[in-house]
Amino acid sequence: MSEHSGRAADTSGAAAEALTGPRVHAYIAAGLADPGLIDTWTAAGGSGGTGRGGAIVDAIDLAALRRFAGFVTMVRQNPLRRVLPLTLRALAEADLEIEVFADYAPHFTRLSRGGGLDLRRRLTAFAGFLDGWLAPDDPVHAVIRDALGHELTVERLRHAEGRPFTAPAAAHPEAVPRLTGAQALRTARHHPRTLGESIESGGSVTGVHPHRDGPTLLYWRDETTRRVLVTEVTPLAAHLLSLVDGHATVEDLARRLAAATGEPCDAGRLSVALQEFTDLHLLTFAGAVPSPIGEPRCG
Amino acid sequence: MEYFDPDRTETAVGMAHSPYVSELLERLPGALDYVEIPFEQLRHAPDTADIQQRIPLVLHCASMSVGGFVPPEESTLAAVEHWRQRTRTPWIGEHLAYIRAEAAGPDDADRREDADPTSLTYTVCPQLSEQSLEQVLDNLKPLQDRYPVPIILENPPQYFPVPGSTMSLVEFTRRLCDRNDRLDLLLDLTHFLISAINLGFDAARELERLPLERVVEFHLSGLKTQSGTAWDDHARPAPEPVFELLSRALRRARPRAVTFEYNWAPDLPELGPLQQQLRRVRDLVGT
Repeated sequence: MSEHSGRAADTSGAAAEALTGPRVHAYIAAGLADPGLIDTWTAAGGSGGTGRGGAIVDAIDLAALRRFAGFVTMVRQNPLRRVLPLTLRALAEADLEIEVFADYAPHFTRLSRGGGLDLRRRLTAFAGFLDGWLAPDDPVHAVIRDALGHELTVERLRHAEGRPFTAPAAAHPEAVPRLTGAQALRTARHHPRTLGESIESGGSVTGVHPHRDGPTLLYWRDETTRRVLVTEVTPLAAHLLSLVDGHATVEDLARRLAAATGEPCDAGRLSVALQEFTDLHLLTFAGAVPSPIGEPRCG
Repeated sequence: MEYFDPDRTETAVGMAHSPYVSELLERLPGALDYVEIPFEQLRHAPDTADIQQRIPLVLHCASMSVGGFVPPEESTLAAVEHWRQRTRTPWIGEHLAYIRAEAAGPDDADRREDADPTSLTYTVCPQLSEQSLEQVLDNLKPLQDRYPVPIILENPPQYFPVPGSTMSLVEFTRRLCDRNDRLDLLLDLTHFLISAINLGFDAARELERLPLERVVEFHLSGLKTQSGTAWDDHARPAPEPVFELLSRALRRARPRAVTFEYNWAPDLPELGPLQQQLRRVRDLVGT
C-alpha cells in the first residue's frame, strides 16, 4: 500500500522532523479556519516562511487544501439550496462549484466572525460575491448568472410588500391603472423554463445556447396562493407596465406610449390590452368614471 | 418516547436527520427504524429531539476530536453524556478525525501554549502516523470508560494526502482495532469510495483488508466529482458502486444498522427511488 504517499506528502530528512502530528494538524486547521491564509501561503511560493512552520506549509498540497476549504464553505451554505437550487446546480454542472466556493471561503469566514449569519445575510453575501465572480463575456457564466437573476427575483418577490388585488373598476380611457401584488420585470438571456429543464435533466449548462436578444420576463406574486409566477412579455408590454405609476390614466399612458414608439396608440385598445393584466391580478383600475347603468363595460 | 431496542437482532435501516425527516415519517410510515441525529444539532436546538416521540434516535457526533492532539472541552463531553442518556442511543458514532488543533506558529512550544487552539466546523482526516495512532488510542480509552455504550469510529473521506503520514487509512484502522478490543467501526462506504478515487487505490480490494466483522453501522450517501476531486454529497443518492461495496462488505460484516445520509437537500427527495433504495438495503441485510 502506498496510498498515503503523494507529491505533497513526500518528505524526508530535516523537513520530516518538523512534520509531527500536532504541528501538521495545526497548520491544516489554521488554513481551514482562515482560508485567506492558504492564499497567502500560495502567493509566497508555497512557503510558510522559515522554521518548522515553513517546512510544514511546503509539505501541504495547498491547492488541495484550498479546494477542501471551498468544499467546507459550500457545505455551510446548504441552507441556500432551497433558495438557489438552479444556480447551485448550474455551478455543479459547469464544474465550478468547488472553485467558486474556494474563492468565496475567505469572504465567508470574515463575514461569519461576528457570529452565525441568517439566511437573508447569507443569500445577500453569496449572491453579491457570485455576481462579481462571473465573467461578463463567458457563455457558461452567463447561464449561471441568468439562473441567479431568476432565483433572486423570485425570492425578492416572495418577501416583497404588495398591494392586495381588488376587483377592478371598468377599464376605461379615463381609468387609472394601478399595479397590485408584487412584481418585477427582468430581461434575461434565457427563459428560466429552458434553463431549468436543461440543468435539471442533468444536461450540461454548456449546451444551453445564449440568446443574443433574450426574453423579457414578467414576474409576479399571486396574492391568493403567494406563489411567484413568471411569463414572457413583449418589450412593449414591459415598457407599458413600467409606465403604470398609479396616477396616469389610460389616456395618459396611450400618449406616453405614442411618444415613446412614434406610433399612434388608441386609448380604447390600450384599455383592452391592460385588461389582460387584470385577469392575472397584476393590475386594477381606479378612478374610473362609473359606467351608466345598462351600458356594457369596455374590454 | 421511542428507543432503539438494544437487543434487536435484525439490522436496522435508518436515515440521518434532515429538514424533511418529519414529513418522510408521515409519507412513508414504517419505512425507517431510526433516525440518526447529530449531537451538535441537539445541543444547538434541543427541540429537535422531539422527533423521538415518533422514532428511536441514534446519536452521531463530530465534536470529540478523537483523531486530534487537542482534547475537547469537558463541557462538550458532558453534553454528549446528557444526550446519550436522553436518547438512549445504542452507541455513539464519532469520526476518526479532528476538529480541534493547537495554534499554528510560533515554532516555540512554550509561547504556543498561550495561544488558543483552533476550532473547526468540519472534521478533518488526521495524519496517519505512528504518533497519531498512539494519540487516538490514548484519546479513545477515557471516552470508552466514560460512556457505557460503545463508541464506533467512522472513516473520514480523504481529499488530500496529509504530510507526515506513513500508512494508509485501512492500515491505521486495522492497527487501531488490533490494539483496542472495545473499538467497533462505522464504515462510511461513500467516504471509502471517495478515498479510493482521490488516492488511487482499489476500493473493493482494500475493503477486504478492513476488519469488517467490527462494523456496527454503515453509512451510505452520494458523491460527486468537482475540480478533479471526488466529494461527499448528501444531497444526491448513493451511486451503484456504493451499493456494490455494501454487498461485498456484507459477506463478512453483520451490521446492526445501515444509515442513509441524505440530509443536505432542504426538501423531500422523490419517494419512489428512495423507497427502492430502502428496499434494496433491506434485501441485502436480509430484513
